[in-house]
Amino acid sequence: MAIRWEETEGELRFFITGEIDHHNSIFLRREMEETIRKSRAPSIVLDLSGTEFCDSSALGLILGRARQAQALSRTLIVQNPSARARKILDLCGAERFLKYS
Amino acid sequence: MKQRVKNQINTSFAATSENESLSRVITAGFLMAHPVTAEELADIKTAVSEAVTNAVVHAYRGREAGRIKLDLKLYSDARLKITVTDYGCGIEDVERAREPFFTTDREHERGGMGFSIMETFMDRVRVTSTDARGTRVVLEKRLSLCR
Repeated sequence: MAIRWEETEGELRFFITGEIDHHNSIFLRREMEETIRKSRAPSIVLDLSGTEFCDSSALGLILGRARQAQALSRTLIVQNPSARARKILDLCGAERFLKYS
Repeated sequence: MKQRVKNQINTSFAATSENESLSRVITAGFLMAHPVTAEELADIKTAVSEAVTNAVVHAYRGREAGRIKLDLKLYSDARLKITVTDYGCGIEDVERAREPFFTTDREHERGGMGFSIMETFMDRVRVTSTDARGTRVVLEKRLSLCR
């Protein structure tokens, strides 16, 4: 599992590759929480194109960041989810809570 | 007619989060010699990951992590049976626990969808639990390519 991010004017973009499970979520949560807190970008994007595996822990992680974004009056969207990530998020009913593109 | 066991493996490991990926590798390794579609394999690994994660997060909460047993059996009728057992606190209300979005976890941002995912990806999910003795989750699936 690897995470990197790019900040351009107006957008903070995270790329998460590899596996998102409960164990990895602990590290991902810490990194993302702090990075979001330090950033001023109004738009946060989670690019999951490289997510090869995830289980329902990914839902908790993403919803937690969505709540954080909302509390800071920022927007969060999930972009380019891999087929696997999309399948799991759809099963979890994530489209009720998240914006996808 | 009782089905013959074609192959089986019995493992146990500490109920720590590092071993969630181990449980998926054990499952994939066990199925390597048997015809299974890539999608089926991914689904089964996810179901195992959910069951093992539940045990890691809940079974030994507030105390030193105990063991999780992961047993896999493949029968001659292509039925795969996976048993995840812990010896922890037990589930107070199994029916409630199996409801989508229900979680008793306060601090770890859990989605509460573990059982829903297991039920979607496996043909059958049975849960038995005893207060202070532990929980057993049995996942079964008929593999489509096995003869």
